[in-house]
Amino acid sequence: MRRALTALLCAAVVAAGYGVTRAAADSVYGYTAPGTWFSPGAGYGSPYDSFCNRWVENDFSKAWSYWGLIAFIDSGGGWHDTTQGYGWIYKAPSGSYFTKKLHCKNNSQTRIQGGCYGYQRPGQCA
Amino acid sequence: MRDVTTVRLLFLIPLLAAVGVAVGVYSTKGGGAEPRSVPSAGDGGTVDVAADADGLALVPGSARALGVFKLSRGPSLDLSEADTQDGKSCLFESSRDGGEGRMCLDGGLFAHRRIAFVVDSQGGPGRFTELHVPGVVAPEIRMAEILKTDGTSVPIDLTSTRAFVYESPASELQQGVYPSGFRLYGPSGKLVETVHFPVNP
Repeated sequence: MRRALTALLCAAVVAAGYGVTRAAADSVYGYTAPGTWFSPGAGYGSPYDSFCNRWVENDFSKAWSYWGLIAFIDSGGGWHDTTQGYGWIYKAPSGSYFTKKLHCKNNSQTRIQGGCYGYQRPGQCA
Repeated sequence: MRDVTTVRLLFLIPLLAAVGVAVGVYSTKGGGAEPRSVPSAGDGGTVDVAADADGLALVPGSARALGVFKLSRGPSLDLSEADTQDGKSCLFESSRDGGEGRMCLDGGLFAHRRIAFVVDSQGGPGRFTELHVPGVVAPEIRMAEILKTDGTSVPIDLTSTRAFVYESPASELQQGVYPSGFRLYGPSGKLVETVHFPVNP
């Protein structure tokens, strides 16, 4: 009986730890307004992330005929996991544990309309 | 005896909580059943995807694996495609190191062009350490060439699923030679479409 209670307590503690972590869900953050007009070559950037909140994906939502670019820019200005394409483009980097910001750009020679946003994942600094 | 048990519990409880947190972190990072990722199967198989999170509800049964492509620089790339319930079709890429990407078009991947593709790179801006172009061509396309900024072109190896990944050689990246478009040929060998990137990478 005592062993069973101990096992139950152990399971409850593990589950509580797991639940605390999973409850910290990703949150979406738009770094342009939806339907923003981009002049040719124009780009926008998010704030840099931190140990407490890491950017884990970057999205550029636009029409099928619009060509654009998304990238993750590190604190030294280096670009990572850049994708260019038509339509709605999305990228999640292989490693998100470095300081970075999100970037989206109209990489065409015409004026385009779209919205850029990303997801932040809470870190373990609470 | 009671004190010994209490001391054991004092050590055990934080340890077990840490195990729980570690498992939670691992699954949140995508090591577990992370709903945002899109699974893929082997070359040409179907992918069992009922729905995806992140505002992307997939049409059940529409997902199709396009193949696994080994790159000379970087991890292998899995390509797949699927339709969304709001009328888009998407090309998915998933790298073996955990990176993911996708491109979705209204009305279908080939509604506006006979090829669906993205341009992926590392490094830059201006100079790249890696650059590859994953994509898939429409069913009526039998052969494709990639055009380059130096005016040359090379045939693309299409799989049985009509997919491809073109990888820029390191020597060309060093010289600033990049892909710039495609020429697409039909069953009779006739040129049916030329697609230029709006700007060079």
